[in-house]
Amino acid sequence: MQEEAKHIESLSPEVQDVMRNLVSAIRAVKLYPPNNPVYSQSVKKSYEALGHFLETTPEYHVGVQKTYFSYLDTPVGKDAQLNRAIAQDLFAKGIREIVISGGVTEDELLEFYRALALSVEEMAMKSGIASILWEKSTSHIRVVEAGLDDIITAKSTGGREDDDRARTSSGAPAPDAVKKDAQFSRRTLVLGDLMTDPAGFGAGMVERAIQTCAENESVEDRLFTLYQDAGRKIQKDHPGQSDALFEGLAKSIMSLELPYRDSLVAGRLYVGLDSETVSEQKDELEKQVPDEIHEILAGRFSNAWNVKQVAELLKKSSSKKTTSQPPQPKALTDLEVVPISQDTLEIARNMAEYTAEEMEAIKIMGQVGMESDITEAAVRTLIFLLTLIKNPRRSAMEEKDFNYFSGVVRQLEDMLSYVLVKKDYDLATLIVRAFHMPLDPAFKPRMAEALKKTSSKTIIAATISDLKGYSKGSSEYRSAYGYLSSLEQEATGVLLELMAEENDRSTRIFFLDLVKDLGKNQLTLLGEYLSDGRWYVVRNIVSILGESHADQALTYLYKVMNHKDARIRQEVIKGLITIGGKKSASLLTKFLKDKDADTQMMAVRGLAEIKGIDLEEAKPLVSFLRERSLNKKEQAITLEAIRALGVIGGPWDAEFLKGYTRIRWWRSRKLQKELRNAAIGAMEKIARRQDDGGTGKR
Amino acid sequence: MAELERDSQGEAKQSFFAKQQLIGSAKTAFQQLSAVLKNSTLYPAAHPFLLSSSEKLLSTIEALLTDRKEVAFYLVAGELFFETLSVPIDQSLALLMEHFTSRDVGGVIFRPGLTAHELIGFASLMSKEPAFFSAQKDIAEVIAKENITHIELHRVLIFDKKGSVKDEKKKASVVFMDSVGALKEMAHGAHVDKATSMRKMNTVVQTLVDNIIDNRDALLGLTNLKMYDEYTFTHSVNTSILAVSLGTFLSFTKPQLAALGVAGLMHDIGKIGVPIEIINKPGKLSDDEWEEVKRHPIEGALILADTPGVSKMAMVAAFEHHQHGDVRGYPRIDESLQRHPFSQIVSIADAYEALTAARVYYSVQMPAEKAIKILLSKRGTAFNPILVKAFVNMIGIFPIGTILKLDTGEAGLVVHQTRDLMRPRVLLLSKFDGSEKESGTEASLLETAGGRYKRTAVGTIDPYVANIDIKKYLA
Repeated sequence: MQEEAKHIESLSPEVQDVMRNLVSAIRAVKLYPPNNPVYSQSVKKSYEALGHFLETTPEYHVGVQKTYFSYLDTPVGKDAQLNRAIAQDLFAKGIREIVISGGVTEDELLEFYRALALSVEEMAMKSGIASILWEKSTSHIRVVEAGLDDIITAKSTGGREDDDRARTSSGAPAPDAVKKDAQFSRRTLVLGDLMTDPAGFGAGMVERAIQTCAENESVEDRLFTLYQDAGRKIQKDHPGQSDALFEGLAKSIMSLELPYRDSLVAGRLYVGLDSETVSEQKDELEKQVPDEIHEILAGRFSNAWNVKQVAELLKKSSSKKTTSQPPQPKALTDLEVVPISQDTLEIARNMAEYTAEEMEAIKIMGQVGMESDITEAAVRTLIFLLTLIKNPRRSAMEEKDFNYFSGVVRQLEDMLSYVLVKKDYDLATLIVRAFHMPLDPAFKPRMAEALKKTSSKTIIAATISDLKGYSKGSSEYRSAYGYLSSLEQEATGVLLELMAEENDRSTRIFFLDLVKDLGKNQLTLLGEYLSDGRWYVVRNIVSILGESHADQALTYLYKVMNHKDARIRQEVIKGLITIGGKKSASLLTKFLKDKDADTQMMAVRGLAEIKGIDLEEAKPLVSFLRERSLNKKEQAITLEAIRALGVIGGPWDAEFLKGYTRIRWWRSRKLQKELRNAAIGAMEKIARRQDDGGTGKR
Repeated sequence: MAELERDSQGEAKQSFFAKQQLIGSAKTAFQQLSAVLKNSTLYPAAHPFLLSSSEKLLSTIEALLTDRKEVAFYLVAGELFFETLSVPIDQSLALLMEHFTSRDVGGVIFRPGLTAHELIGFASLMSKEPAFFSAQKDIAEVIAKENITHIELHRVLIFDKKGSVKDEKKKASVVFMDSVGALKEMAHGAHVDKATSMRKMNTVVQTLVDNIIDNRDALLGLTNLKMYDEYTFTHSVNTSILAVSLGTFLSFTKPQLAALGVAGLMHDIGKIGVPIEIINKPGKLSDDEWEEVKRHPIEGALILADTPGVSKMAMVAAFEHHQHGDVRGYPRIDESLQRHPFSQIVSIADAYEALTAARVYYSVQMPAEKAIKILLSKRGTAFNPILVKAFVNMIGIFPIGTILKLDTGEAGLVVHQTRDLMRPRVLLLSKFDGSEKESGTEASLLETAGGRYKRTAVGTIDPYVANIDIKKYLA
């Protein structure tokens, strides 16, 4: 501060007097009409003061700072309010230094003042103050403007010694050029540096922007203007090297500190591009909500721009006109008013009241957003996602896809556990069914893993326990049952295990009923359990196979026909009877040779009961009867076999049965009579059927 | 204070439906009060007409008193409030309000034990000239002298609205920027420590919800400022604010609002999955590239599905926010499936934000009024018609931040919505330099004089065309 004061003191009164007169004249020409005496007097006074000064010194330098003027490095009249307004105005117009040299005329000065009095727009129209002065041949006044006019295109090694060429004005080289370089370090930026040292160029631009930004202008705005200027210069003077230079320019931006880089690229370059796109697509905006441009705009989470993109943006931006000063609010009377339309009034009227239906809908809506509906929506979304993970636009599967898939499945697994705790079996069913969806083979192993988890013993046991508690036919029962069904084989397997471990008979019966229902379409799985060591497990499986009524089950029943445990063999007989048909009957006849009498008896009775049997199957029964001896022990089974033959046999069998009608005296009369009575009954049955033309019921 | 808090919680618990019913009953009561006052000027105290009208009023008040200690009406800046609910007024009620305010009465409270005779006495007292009231030191004494013990009168309420608004806005802007920051952190650190980011996000949303419940206007005002530099993030924050605001308007509970808030904030997170070269492309997108952008709902849902600590609603809304009922919706799924109502809310908020965001470009003006018309035109196709109606009632036809030209020649910046969409409360502007925020006057367009509105909006002024920096008023 003290130093500054010293400087001011060191300026001669003459220098200060010239400055005062110059500023007064600039102000007067700007404010007053030419016929006003102040106008001409001020010009005259400034000319005289200058003339006096230039008699001893070759040039007078007026430095234009943001809010004050300086002579060379020293501020002049810094606190004067008058100076402040004029300095601000000139600074905003991009003027940074005025150099008036000896020989200047009063006319030259007047033209110069008039040029300074022009508005920014007028000045721009006339291609800037330098052009105006040139047109008016004011050769003794030189103006240094802000911006990159002083960027020179010399090779980087040429550097800043070419500073003089930087000046926009014509005229002799400035004697204090070196001094200026010190004052505004890196003031001269060399386009050639863009190729070799873009980072250095960028740093120079920032420094320059900081030094030259106007009072109401941010450094970022200034920096943007400087880059636009550089771009224009490239387009104008070096179209041949345009690509390489723009690339260098982009590199220099990318090398800037983050805040500068981001605000320049996102805040200035992209905003210009997007603004332009929006203008182009203005009519399209309403058709699509939100529109394409908005989606892009709201998607720039990334700041990973590349040199090519930035160079492209710079080219676009440099082709546009620069903006002038920041706009000022208009007066109240000048404001453009869009009248309120009739439509708007109509909307306001229609919106005011809610109908009863609307109120009801809002009431219902007030109950959403609760755990249950969010869970349901989440499950639905996750299921959709399973099929949408792979981007159809990419042929190969990416690691990201696997991670996402695994994540979604994990979420579904968690949701499943959750909904099962909540006993929401409908939602659980939905999830399990989703796990069975056909998907890309690459995803299958993970899906299988999920399925395995879903059918854990604990989960199924808990579900079954719930199921037991529900009354059959209730909606809860149906939901839980639906869930178990959806588990398919997984549930059946666990159920069979549980059934095997269950001690309580009633529970076992409950399980059996369930498995019969659930497992009827899973014969292969059931068949696997036939080799189980536990007789009751095998018996249950056999029972289920029989209940399946499927021919396919015969294959599995055949496997256990010779099981060592008679209880299993008997269960097979039951199964064969249930399944029925010729094949079953054929298998059933095999049991006529079973070593266990009870089993044999069951087989014989079974032959009478089984449906779909034909006369061929009577033959094994006849053979069986032929092998019977007449004794009390075998009497019951022989009688049963005769009755069975009556049910299934034909005329030839009736002939065979006749043999039982003769009583042999040497044999037990009682036993023979029983056999004769049974045979007569059987023959009558056969005869009746024959009378019906073979169509009569057995 | 604790009582006040309880009341406010009680109010929050009231459903939108219940509130509307209450407003209807309150309006009826005030209309009946108007009839009693009118009859008292025409008939003697014992006249059957007067008795009948006062009994009707008594019956309505008694019905209102069944679940509250008192029935309180307040008259503030041309608006009629029943407790804290704004009651829509028509011309006749406007006259009655003027009648009260000209007598310096700003509040009427009815208490249990009220009789029809007290009502008649009160009506007779109120028919006295304004000068009588201004001469009274204590209005309570006057009413006591008339043996009216179950009615309490309040002087016109003068409250420093501006001060409170200013305080709230300061807080609101901090909350707003915190939200932007949290979202930024979440987006940029999407692959690191998601749980921590989400914890922070949830805290931010909770604060956001608290602030919106406290003062919706403050945050809604901030949504009007489209900061380009941060547009990517402010869009999501604005969508969240708009969605939560609609939620508060529909009287959703706090957990509902929090779920809605997170959903709004994260709805576009899938865009971080869109290839950078597409998002940053300095030119028009090809069809293929646009298809890629359209995958963002799927990508968003996938990211959120695997993010611990995030509400499942966020994933659902991210997935469903573009599934408009029309052909333009994406991703395409079974059309028979109903989108979650919260997704529908986020969808409306997102669309409105997108439409009005065009205002960021000086060359394209999309006034809120026009954006609302577009939303309305897509009722029943892209958007749920009932939610659109509620949204319009919440945001207003002239949302906060709109500059209105008034028939008085004044310009006013909308600062608060009232029950009448055409008559918001405005801050009168004269200098347009932001100074009015501190020293300007607020006026309700509902205020009347001689039964006529003092001010009526005749047009809108685009701040960008007029070079008015509304940030100075709203930020």
